[in-house]
Amino acid sequence: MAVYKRRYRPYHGPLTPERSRFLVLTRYAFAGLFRSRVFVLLFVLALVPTLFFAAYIFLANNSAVQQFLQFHVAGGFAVENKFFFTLTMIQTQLAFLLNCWVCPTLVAGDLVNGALPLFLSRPFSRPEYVLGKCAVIALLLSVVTWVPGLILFSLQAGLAEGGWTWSHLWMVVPIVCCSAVWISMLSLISLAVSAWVKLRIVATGVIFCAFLVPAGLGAIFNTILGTYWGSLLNFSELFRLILVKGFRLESELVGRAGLPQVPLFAAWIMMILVCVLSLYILDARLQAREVVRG
Amino acid sequence: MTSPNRQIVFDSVSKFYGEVLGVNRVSFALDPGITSLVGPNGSGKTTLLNLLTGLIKPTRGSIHVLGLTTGQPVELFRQVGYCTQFDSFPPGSTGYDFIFWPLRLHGFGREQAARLTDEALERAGMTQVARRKVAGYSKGMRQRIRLAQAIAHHPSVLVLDEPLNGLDPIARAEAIALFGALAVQGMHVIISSHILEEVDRISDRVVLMSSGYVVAEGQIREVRQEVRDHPMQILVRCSNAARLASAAFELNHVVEAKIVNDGRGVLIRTRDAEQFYLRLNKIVCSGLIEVEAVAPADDDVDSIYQYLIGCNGGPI
Amino acid sequence: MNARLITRAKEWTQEQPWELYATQIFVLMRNEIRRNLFARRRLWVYLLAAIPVVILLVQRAFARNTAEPFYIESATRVLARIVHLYYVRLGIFFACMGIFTWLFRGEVVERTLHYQFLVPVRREVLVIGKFLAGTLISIFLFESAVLACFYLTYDRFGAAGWSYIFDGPGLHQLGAYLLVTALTCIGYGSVFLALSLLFKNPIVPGLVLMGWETIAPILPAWAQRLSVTSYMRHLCPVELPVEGPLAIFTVVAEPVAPVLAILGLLCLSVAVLVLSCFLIDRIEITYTAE
Repeated sequence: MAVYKRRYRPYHGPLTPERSRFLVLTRYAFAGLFRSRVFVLLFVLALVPTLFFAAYIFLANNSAVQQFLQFHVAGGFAVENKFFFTLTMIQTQLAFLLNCWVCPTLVAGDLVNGALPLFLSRPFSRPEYVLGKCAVIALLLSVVTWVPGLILFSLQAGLAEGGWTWSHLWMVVPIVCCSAVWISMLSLISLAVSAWVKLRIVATGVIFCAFLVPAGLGAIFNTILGTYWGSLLNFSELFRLILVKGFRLESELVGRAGLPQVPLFAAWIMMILVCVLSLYILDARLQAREVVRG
Repeated sequence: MTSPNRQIVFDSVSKFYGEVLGVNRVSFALDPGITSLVGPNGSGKTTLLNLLTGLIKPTRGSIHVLGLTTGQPVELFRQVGYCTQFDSFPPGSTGYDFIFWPLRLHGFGREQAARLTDEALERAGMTQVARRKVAGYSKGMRQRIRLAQAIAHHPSVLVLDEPLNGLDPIARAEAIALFGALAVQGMHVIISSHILEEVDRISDRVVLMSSGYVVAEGQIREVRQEVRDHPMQILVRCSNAARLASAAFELNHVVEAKIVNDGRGVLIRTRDAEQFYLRLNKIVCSGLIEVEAVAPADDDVDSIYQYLIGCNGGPI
Repeated sequence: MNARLITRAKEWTQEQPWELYATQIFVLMRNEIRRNLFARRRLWVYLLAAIPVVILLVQRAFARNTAEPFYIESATRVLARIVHLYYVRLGIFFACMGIFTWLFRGEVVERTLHYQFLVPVRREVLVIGKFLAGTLISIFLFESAVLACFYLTYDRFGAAGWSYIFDGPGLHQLGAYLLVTALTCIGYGSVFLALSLLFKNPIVPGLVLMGWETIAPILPAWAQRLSVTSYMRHLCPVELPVEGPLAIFTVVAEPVAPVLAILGLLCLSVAVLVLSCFLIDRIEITYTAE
């Protein structure tokens, strides 16, 4: 009889269900993230503008306080589609900052420390690994983007006089969906970059570059060649276009710039292409590193 | 007594990494020769060496190397060569470049730097592969090229962090011989190791470390003296083991007497070896037994280490 | 008191082994240039510098005929935008972020910084040597790119273009662009070097710096003195009109004499470098958290 037969006792306890097993990664990633003071600070700071927006809603719906504080705004305090458009724009930009900090720590650490083969030697598949990591970003950025949006919408619905809720209910769709589009693109690009460059510090830099440098290049491309197609390289601008359409603000915001814009379908195609490309890169890089060589 | 300008002096040195203790209240003075720093992983050996070379700064206390502090890098690093444990090299560099360019930073002219590089490569047995990229070296070769770099500028103090790691037995013997030769020239050679056997044979003195504290320091025999309370083992090969064992039991300082398997010897454990030797002389003179050999069974670093730190000898 | 100080300073100056420092700086620069300029992983910096040149080449390929002299003014404005809005705000910014933060932080990541600390080199000399290497690399890359852009912008106008350069304001503008490029490299370089010594991950503070540079024009005058682009704005030979989506990058401010702007930026860079010299002394080799 081999020695191990006398000593080895397999585990007989309950197992995490297969469907939700990827959340184990998410749970541990969150635990790691919240140990970082810098992350907590960034996370809290990302929610600060929401408080100002909430204060604005409160003020807009309380004429007694307006009179007490002697606030006079031309045209009155309006909580309409432009208000939620501005909120979503600000929160998504803060989500970008938060994402730049979080994303490289999620994947780069595993790659540098050779943890990926260890994960994938467990009953985890590569898609589950990606899902587990994406879930961290999705949950985190949701808390910073569409969740405050919906909370503020509910606040306004509660404070506003009858009829406001039903006439503005359509805004829930752009608040959630546009944020989701931005979160998907952010997370996929950032995870792909992190998997590509491995080192955390470099990954953070490359994520910034991936969003800011193409935008600048696009602007120069437009300037030199006298076109507007360079804007396709500006992801923030593409998102803004989608958001403008979502909040039905075309006439107000697009028209004001007085410049020709990239068509909406082109913006969608570009964003989908970027997501697909990121997913392909992510898969290829993880596949290349899931086996230990040498 | 050796002048402080010829010594390496640690004066009440402490190093904390936040709340984690690196080393605490370390004080000693080292004379030229080979000094071994021994302790298990995480005992603070590398921290101590990094403090000595200024790679980290002490939280408290002061360090003087041949009268110099780490605040005088130009003077200090002319005297000190440090072969670290970090197995990393400037990307793309060859073995030759790895030694040559630091020598240029020392201020040596091109020709002199080239001569010193060749000499160091020769001593480390790396001449043949010097023009190859370090990235393609084996672990042993990387260890040797680091050693070559540390000795290239003819330092007075050579600091070696686990220098024999990754070396094959022949290279290990060559390296040990090299350390011995350097020490004979009057150099300070400080070696850290957790493999006790290798330092036991080559050291003039040991510094034993555990959990950031220096638990013993000095020549191996001196350290042994320090731990008198710890019973020492002495093996006596003799004609009448049972008789010697019964005589030994009459002594208060003997805590154990065990007849060895072949029945021709006794393993004595005593708290006072010198008293035991005196008594043994008397027994032998009385003609009761014939002694073939007397040998301390544990007068090496292993036993002291085991006693002081509570670990077995050998690799930890 | 002053005389004693001056005597002490003179003594100190005489005590210093300047020749050794010069050799060490030369060797450090040589090593750094080899590591940073001729490395495959620095390809992105070349790309960053070359992309406007490539776009101009594409434009030239599509418009083969000599351009009408009438458009020289418009081409001049385009070139000014390329230099100020792309190179100064983005290209040089990110390239300096990559090059200068990697000078020390890269060595920490690669676990090779201890080799620099174990040679008889003062840490201040180390900072200066590495900074000069980084400056030389970035200036070489971006001045080459600006020169190429300048050539491609005016060459397509044929004789009119050359006349604009040699008989008109062209040469003066080129000098100003090259000066702006060099000063931007020095300014951002010093700041990123200091950031890399201050933070384990200097990229996030780098983005904060970018935000600072963006909002600098709306800040009080004293705060503008701490912004690289504020100095550069005063050296721009062509006034950029505020229009379109690039408007955010362009802000009109009270004019400052070019000499003062140059001196101001150099003083700022020296101050930041002095800070770096203090910071490098704090650095310890632990390599654990990278």
